[in-house]
Amino acid sequence: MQKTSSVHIPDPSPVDRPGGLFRRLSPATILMLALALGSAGAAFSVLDGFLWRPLPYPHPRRLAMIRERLLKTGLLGSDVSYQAYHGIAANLPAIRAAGLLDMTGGLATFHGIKHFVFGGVTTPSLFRALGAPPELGHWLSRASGRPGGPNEAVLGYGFWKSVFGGSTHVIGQTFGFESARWRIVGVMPKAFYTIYPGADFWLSRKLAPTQLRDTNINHSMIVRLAKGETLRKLDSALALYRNRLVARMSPPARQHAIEDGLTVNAIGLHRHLVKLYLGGHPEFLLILALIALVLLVIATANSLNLELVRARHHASDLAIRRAMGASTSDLFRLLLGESLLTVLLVATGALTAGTLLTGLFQALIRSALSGPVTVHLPFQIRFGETAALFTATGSLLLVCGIFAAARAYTGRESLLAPLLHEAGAHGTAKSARLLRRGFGSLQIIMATLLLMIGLLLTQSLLGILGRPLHFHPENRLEAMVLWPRKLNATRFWKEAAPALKTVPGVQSAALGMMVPFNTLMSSHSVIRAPSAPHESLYVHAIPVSGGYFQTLGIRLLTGRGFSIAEKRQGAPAFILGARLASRFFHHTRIVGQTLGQKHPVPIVGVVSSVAWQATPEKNIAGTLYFPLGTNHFHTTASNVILHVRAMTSHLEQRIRSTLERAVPGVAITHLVSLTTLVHESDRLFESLAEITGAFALVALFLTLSGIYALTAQNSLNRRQEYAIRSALGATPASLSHLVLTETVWMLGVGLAAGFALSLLLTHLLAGALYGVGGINGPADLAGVLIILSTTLIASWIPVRHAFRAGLAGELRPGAA
Amino acid sequence: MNEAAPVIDVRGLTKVYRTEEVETHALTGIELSIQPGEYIAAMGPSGCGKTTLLSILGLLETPSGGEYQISGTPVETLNAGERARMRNRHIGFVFQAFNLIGDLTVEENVELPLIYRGGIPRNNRRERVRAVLDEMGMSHRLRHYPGQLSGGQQQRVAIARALVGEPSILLADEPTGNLDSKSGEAVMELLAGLHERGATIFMVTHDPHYAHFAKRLIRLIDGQIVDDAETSETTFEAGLATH
Ligand SMILES: Nc1ncnc2c1ncn2[C@@H]1O[C@H](COP(=O)(O)OP(=O)(O)OP(=O)(O)O)[C@@H](O)[C@H]1O
Ligand SMILES: [Mg+2]
Repeated sequence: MQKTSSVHIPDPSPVDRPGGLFRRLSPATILMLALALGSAGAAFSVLDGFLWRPLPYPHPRRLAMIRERLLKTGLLGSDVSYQAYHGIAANLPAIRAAGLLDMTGGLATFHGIKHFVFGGVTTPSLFRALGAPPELGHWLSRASGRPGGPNEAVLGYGFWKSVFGGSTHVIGQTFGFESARWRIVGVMPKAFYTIYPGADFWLSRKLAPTQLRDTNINHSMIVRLAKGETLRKLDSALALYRNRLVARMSPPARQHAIEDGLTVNAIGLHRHLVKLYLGGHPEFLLILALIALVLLVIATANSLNLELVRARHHASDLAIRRAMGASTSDLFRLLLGESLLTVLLVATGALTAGTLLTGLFQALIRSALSGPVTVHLPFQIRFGETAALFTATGSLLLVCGIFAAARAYTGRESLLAPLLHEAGAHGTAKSARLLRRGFGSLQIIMATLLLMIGLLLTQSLLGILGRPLHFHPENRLEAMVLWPRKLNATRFWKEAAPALKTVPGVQSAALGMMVPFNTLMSSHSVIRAPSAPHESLYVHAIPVSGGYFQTLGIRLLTGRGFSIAEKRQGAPAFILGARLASRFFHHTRIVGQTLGQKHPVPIVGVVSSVAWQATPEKNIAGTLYFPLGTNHFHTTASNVILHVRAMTSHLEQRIRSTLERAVPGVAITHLVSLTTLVHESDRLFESLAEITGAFALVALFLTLSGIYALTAQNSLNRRQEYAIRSALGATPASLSHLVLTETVWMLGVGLAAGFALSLLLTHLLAGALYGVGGINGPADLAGVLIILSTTLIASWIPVRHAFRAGLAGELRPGAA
Repeated sequence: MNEAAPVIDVRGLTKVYRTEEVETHALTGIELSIQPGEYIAAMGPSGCGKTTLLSILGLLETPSGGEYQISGTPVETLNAGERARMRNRHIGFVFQAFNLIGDLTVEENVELPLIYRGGIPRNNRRERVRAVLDEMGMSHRLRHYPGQLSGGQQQRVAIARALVGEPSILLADEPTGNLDSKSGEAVMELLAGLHERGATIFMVTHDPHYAHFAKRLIRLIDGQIVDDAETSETTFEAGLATH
């Protein structure tokens, strides 16, 4: 019989067992980092598409839009008047070139074939300002912008391809549009767009000297800054211009300008486009970036924690290797190989996740923007080289950082400690536990925060989706129609209305310059409050035909609708929306009051406040309706609304053919049901909810798997301790208690801090998000309960698992 | 033979380990009865099932077959919690690898069995811990961590921990296995002293010299008890000869 050798070397744990490099990797770390980095990469692609990818013009940073605004009235658009265009374009040295742009649409005739087209009417100088060279031919000539000059057109790339098959013979051909003939002089490249991308053409705008005094603020003005000029310098030059302008005004006009808060300033073209296309919700980008950042923090905390636990184990592995004669460089190479392989796997996973998630975003945004009226997005959202570089670099830095940090921390214990001391290291165990709990708490804080953001957004979106419309979209059809220039709205309707009413199935029909949830057409004005004559308000001012309220199902609250005289003979009268009415008259009797100083117009009724779009309008004070006949603007397009008994495609056909027969030359650009319009506009918000929801779920998953992996790793490492305690009489319950105390500790700290942070965030977002207030009992409670229960389950499972397999083996020598 | 209820009574005990492919019959048909106050040593070649037997006796593992009573109570039907309480009251363990908890001080390690017993006020526990450590000559190392002690010192702390709850029997698996001969000798002296004062001890050892400290020697080969007799020079030498 021999005495067994008493040299005891701690056995490496399964993960450390020398063998393939792959066995040294932690799948949990790789998965978590890849997922978080992939999400960050996708968020980066979205931000990149919106914010960082340059516009398709030379020196795009030097492009800006000039805005003439009446700050006190709520007129906060991005338009200018002809007067301002003239005053600014020619006289400001900061501006190298400036162009004016208007939207147009209608029927154009190419070789006898009619096409419904959409495009711009622009001063030729716009092309010089933008500076992008044409694909074919040349820009609009200077002469085409002067009165009496030729009518010229430049085609958009898509239109050129689809209608002309991309033929080069297109240059010099002519087409008919708005009772004039236009000669095609050029084609712009694919990526080119003015403010509204997807334009079919740009026509030359001729500005007559009489128009120079036009103060109507409804044209887009794009300028290119001279070299060395900045937006700030331009802004001060614009302020001087505004002061000169005000000084030259007549005294009453000057007083109005000052009271209305007339300002003129500039905004970068890029910024303008971002604001325009995010539909007034640029905070969405901020939230997206914030969520991606929180995800990264969660994954980092997660992985650091795991790697710390693993590094403590690796220390004994390294000690054994060193005892076997491995040199420092051998060990370094081992660690380097491990790190590099992890980087490689994380980067591959992150790139895959990033590509997939970006594709998901693309699809969501595209489906949100495609409706009966397709919106072309000028921003390209794709997982491009920059996003890939960002993700790959992120993988390298994060993995190396985490590994280095974990090793540096563990390295504080002597490398040989595991060999020298049977019972393992001591002392640092306490600080390691504190660190582990700290990271765990951080994860829970972040998860709570994200879940709360998710709930907050959902709550806000549900609020948007659920708010009252104050009109009936059911069984209502909306048709956008264009009629020949020789007609105006009243004459068009005189011919169309009787014909439409004869169509079986049509209950009533009306015409209005604005229809709820059709954002293509709107009608605005600035009016003065009678109660406070110094206060002007920006309002929807909508010319409507008789039967408009009845057809849309808008309720008349007090007074009456427009009388026959008002409708037929154009006697002026106003009907107010309830919101505007209460703003102007508070609680006094409204019907019988008048609006307007020079020509007071009687108010004959008040109707309920219609929701014109999905989100509440921020700058609009309310709505004002007036009879079609009193509208002084010549318009060639409007919305026809029909209340039908039931919606059928046959009926749609009948309506189209009836209109086309009744009014020769009319074009119907679209015919949709109002329910579809409402639904389509809800879709963007549903998409936003889905994106945030997806992120919040990823975050919750990351946190839970982190806590699971941590508890699992931890209970695996402490199996021997559990076995000893068990041998001394600890019951399974008391052992579970031992492990779960840690989870409960992390949950306490994490939930408290996470909840406090999310309250702070709610406070910050309250202004930006619709219907978001302070504490929301049920939603917050739900969030807390979700975190609480899932975390407890995530840490309970590995504990069960550790105890189910017997512990006796842990007590044998060498089991440490 | 003593007429009182045996501390340990095992009838036809078997243990089979099943892994994916192999079935290891670690113990077959073990019959063993240990009376209060006995000091038994178990010997046998490596892999013959000594540790397995000890683990089953100590309720760390469950047997595959047979009957087992501790102080007249059958243990097969006990649930995990009852087994833990039984272990806490009746069994004291001493391991070859000491198995002290590295994150706890000497004092805290020894206190553990009393904590798990429950209902003992802290002051009483600490008093008892100090008394036992004093007995083991370790009272000057109360605040040390196991990693700061020598192997022999760690084993003395481990014995103190095994004794502190006054168990019915002390189970020791190669308590001198990790110690040099001088420390080993000291540990054996300690156990002998405990036995003098009435403790029941079941010890596994590889060393014939240490086996001789016991009053009864069991020899295991291939999971079976092949010899069970009072120790004497003859059995000791016979043991050597058969090996
Ligand atoms: N968990 C297990 N799974 C499978 N087989 C096991 C397990 N534990 C022990 N064995 C086997 O059971 C047999 C008895 O092992 P045991 O540890 O009891 O031997 P031992 O007599 O204590 O040996 P040593 O003197 O070397 O400590 C051995 O063949 C061993 O391989
Ligand atoms: Mg053994």
